[in-house]
Amino acid sequence: MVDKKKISLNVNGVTYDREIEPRTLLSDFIRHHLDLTGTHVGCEHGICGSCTILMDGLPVRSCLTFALQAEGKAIETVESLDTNGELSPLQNAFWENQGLQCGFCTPGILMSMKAFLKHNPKPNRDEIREALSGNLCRCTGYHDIVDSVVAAAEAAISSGTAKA
Amino acid sequence: MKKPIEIAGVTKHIGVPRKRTEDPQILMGQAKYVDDIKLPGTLEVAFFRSTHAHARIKNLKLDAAKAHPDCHHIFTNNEFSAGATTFFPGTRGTLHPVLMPFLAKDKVRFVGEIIAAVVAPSRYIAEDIVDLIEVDYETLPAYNDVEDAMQPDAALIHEDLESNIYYADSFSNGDVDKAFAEADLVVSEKIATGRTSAAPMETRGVMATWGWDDTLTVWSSTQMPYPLRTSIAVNLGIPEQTIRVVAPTVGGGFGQKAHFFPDEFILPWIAKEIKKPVKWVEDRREHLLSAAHAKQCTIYMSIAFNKDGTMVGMKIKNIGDSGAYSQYPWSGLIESVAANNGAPGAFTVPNISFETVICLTNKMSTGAYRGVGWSAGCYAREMVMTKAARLLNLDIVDIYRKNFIRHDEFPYTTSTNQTYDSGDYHKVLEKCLELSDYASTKKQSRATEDGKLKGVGIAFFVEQTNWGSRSAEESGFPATLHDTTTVEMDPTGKVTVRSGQFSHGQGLKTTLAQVAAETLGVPFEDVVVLDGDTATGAYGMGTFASRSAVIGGGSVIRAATDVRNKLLTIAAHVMEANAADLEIDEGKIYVKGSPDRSMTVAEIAYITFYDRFARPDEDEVEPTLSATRHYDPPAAYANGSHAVHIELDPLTGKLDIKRIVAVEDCGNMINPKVVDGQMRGGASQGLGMGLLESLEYDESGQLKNASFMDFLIPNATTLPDIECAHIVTPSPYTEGGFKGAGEAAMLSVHIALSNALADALSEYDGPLVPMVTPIGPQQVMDLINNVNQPQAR
Amino acid sequence: MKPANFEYFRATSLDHACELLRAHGDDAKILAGGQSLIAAMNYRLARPQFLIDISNIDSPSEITDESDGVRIKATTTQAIAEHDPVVRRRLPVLANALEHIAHFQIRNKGTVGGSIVNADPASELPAMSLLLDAEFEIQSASDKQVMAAEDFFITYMTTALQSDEVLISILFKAPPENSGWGLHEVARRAGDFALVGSAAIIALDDGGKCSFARVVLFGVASTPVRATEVEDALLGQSCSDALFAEAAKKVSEVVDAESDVHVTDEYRGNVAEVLTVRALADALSRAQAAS
Repeated sequence: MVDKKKISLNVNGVTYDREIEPRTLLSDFIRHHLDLTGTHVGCEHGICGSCTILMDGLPVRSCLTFALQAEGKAIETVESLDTNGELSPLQNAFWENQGLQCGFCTPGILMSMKAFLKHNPKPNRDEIREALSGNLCRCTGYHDIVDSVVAAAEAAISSGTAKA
Repeated sequence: MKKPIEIAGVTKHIGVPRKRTEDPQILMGQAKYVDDIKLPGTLEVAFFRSTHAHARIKNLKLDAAKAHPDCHHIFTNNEFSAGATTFFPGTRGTLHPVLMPFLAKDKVRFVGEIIAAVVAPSRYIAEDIVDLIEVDYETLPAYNDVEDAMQPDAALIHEDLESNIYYADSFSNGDVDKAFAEADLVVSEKIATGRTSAAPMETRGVMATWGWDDTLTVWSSTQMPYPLRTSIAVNLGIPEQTIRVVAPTVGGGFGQKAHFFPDEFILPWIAKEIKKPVKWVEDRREHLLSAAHAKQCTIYMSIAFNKDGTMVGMKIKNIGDSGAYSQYPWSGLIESVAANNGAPGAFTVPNISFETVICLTNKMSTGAYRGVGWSAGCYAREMVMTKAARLLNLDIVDIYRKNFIRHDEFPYTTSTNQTYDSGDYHKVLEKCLELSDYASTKKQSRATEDGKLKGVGIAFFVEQTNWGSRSAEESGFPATLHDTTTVEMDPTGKVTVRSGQFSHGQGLKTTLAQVAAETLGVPFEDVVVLDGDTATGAYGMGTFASRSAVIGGGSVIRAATDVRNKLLTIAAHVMEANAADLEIDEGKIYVKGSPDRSMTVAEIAYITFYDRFARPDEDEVEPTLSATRHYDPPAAYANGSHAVHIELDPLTGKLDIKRIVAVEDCGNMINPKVVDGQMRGGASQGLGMGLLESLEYDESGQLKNASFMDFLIPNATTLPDIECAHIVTPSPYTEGGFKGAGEAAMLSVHIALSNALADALSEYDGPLVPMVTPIGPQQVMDLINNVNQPQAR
Repeated sequence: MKPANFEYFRATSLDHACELLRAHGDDAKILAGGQSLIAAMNYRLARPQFLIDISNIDSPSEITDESDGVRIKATTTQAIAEHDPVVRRRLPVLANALEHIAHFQIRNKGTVGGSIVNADPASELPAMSLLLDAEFEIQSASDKQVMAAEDFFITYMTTALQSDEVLISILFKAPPENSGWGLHEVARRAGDFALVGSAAIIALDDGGKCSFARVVLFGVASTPVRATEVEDALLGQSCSDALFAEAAKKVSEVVDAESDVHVTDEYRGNVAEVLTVRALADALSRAQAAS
């Protein structure tokens, strides 16, 4: 038996202290130790992108990260996006443009796109496709997701929230 | 019965691109998929699976595993001997039942077959214990290619059968020999479509718990909760009314989750046995190894033409690669039988004969996946047509126009006895040609300035939709499929639709509510659709095979009409008016021509339940506002066309898709945005099959690419935008004039892709027409070099 | 698909990591970004008994502008290297290659050193280290050494790194002034491992003749390979499409490809030649623009 290790990290603004087996993947830690099940697991080898979360603001695969590697880090998951049930502009753009069908890939896509739009507030469709290429979706054919991201960028610009 | 609503294009609720009610929960990460459901004390299951494709189990060594301190249980076939076979009542040919044990007994038949189930506190530990299990195998010859497995001297994969072929049929209509003898041109090809997987982003998963009151609750990532409930009851001997099956949020299915898999029986059985909640969530490796594969067919296709492109005859031999079992419940026939029965497609084919052969191999079983049968069957037909067009100096479009069933010929019964209800194929094709700039592109040079070759391809499909009994029968399966919906109005006038369908991405909670709101005359927001839970729905077959808009929508129309009529009868009494003079609009009931004489639906509903003085006498009108109605409509056939523009790098074989145009006629649309979503998603999967996806087994039966590293599905850069357009010819046969839409998008886009490749290579000696899927860089270079093409055996 | 158990050690510095490696020896593995290792562990294809995590050492990302090139600390993430202004200015081919590695979510965690040590023959950074004459600074608890990239890659996923050694930094040498570069690869989708790739650097002398040539292929053998025969055919010659076509034929001297589920060995050989012509053409036009 391997000894458990202590871990302290911040998820969506809340600090958690837990004891875990070192092999616990960050994806499983978030989902099953913290019960934040919005982060999904689709392949566990880093390809599908469903488990993408933000670690210190950067999108990473939580399935290719041991929870212990997130010691002291600030994690953001899909549950951080809305405000008491009010959708964020990014979420709303996905709703308006039907940028989802079964929705399994959606949390990972939202987290990737949140970071992407911060980095590139006025992307063109090709840049959006490139940025989406690390998140697989089997339902939509991506077109309506691209529309959603375009709409989210436009909404951010028109409301003046886009960073220059 | 009189049609309750006349829908012509857009009404208040039908034809409206409404936002989906299911989306906010998903977008906030609150929607619950199987692995998100938590019950205290849940144990997790991991399976020990076969690493051999065909072998006898000589000795299963469990001692080390059982000695693991956290091993709760290990179950094998010794404890659990149940198994199942397909439950189709019959087919045109002779079907020899293939028994599928839920846990392997004595022998294994494909890599990934379940041998033992380990129960432990966590999946991590369960996998540790699985690692401790060992087995001595006696290996047997493994078959990868159907044409090897069907040889008379091949080793039997199932010893209780006389051959690895377990189904064969043949069919003929017209004088095929004469047509071929007199034709100007006969083109015969062998076509090999690759083996793929629906690969939904959520893998499969099952959780089960046995209650203190001897009830069983099962959560499964399934497309068909009610048939699963019946199957669990029948196969495990548990009274059906004590079982509740819940399909929570499900992350895509595409037909693959419309099967019953061994785990869906093993988990409930374990829960009953150990009286604790148990969960198994399939990982991606397991998914690619052992969730139904699809679309692998070996097809010999011959078509006879006159010089002007008229098709005078067709001969087909379709050999279905069933894999190791006949996937429960649809059977391994589903691909090839559906393909052959739908072989004429959009065309008048006066003389046709086909043979269907279904053969076992040592691979995962094949089953339903979006566009089942037709993806492969249409590809074979159209690639031969493309080759013929080139040999006849015609464009494939000329052959389409020449052979299309005309608008004025509907209803039209094909030479394979399918009755097409409606359509205007010429109009759809012309729309697609126009939107895609097909003719002008064809006139341009193929070569680009940077050494690439441009190509444009077109394709056309007819899709048999709304699988009810008759649709199934017309495809060669005399199955019984239908659906039931209960529509209930409560005393506050709000409406609950209890459906036996199950939305797993299609947006049925939205679209069925649109249908109910329209039929009843209530606001959309007043309708809630309950699906996916046998405790709250109505017995139905589930959602697959482009059936839910038509059969689900139709049964909603019927049940809602009954409730509306009851409501009007009661309102007429209350309002002292004639029921025939009353209208309902957005929750308000009023006398025609006198809008001031009105009451709300909520007021009438309240009176119905709570005011015995105001409502009619209950001997006259029962004070209920609910109705349960069944629907099993005739088949409705959608149609559509795809065009694809590519740029090919002729030195690397890499092709880039530059444009996709999709035109579809699915009759009246309930929610055009949802239809567009289906068209785009289907196009993506069709191009995945056409360009990328192939599950590759080696000679010994090992799956070489059981990961998303090497089994490739389209990403956002694989495809460009997908331009959609609609032609609407309502079905005269179905409630609402709906035809299905779900699978359509996958039926011809891969054909358009391959036609675009053939077009890009049109200046090469040939004609060079691909006869395989997918057309990856290797296959493109093989085509250019004219090597490794499918060889007839 | 869950990893097997291991004991976990968090190193605070690379020196500390060397100490931990000395203590745990052959059964220990360094965990940096983990983007290849954890995937392999999830599949239980890798089962290290001890993991020494260097992903949270102090100042993991350091990029230094040195006289003969750019030194990148091994733990620097690929994303930081990709966007680094010094890398983009002095080693544009490396910046371009970094963009080809998987997807940005992977590059946010994957490290430059990790990719090199993983030594996948189809991946970009091992090829870049050959192309740019990289020197690897390698350290153990008792020793320090510098190893040339050409001595480092042994075979498929295997390097000269000993089990007690850690890759500390990589010095990528800047190519000659006025040189140009080309990088071409064929992958099935954006972000996938290359089926085949070719990278080239060319510099021209005052007379317009090729004065420097470097050609590296990846995905065509058990390690990335330098195509010296191609380089020799270029040196001292006037560059032209015809010369490139002729020279690129010599890639067959170094191609020792295998077939996989995607393409055959033959495809890899043929396309390596095609891509080499293209990489050389791009390198030439950049070199001409730089002159």
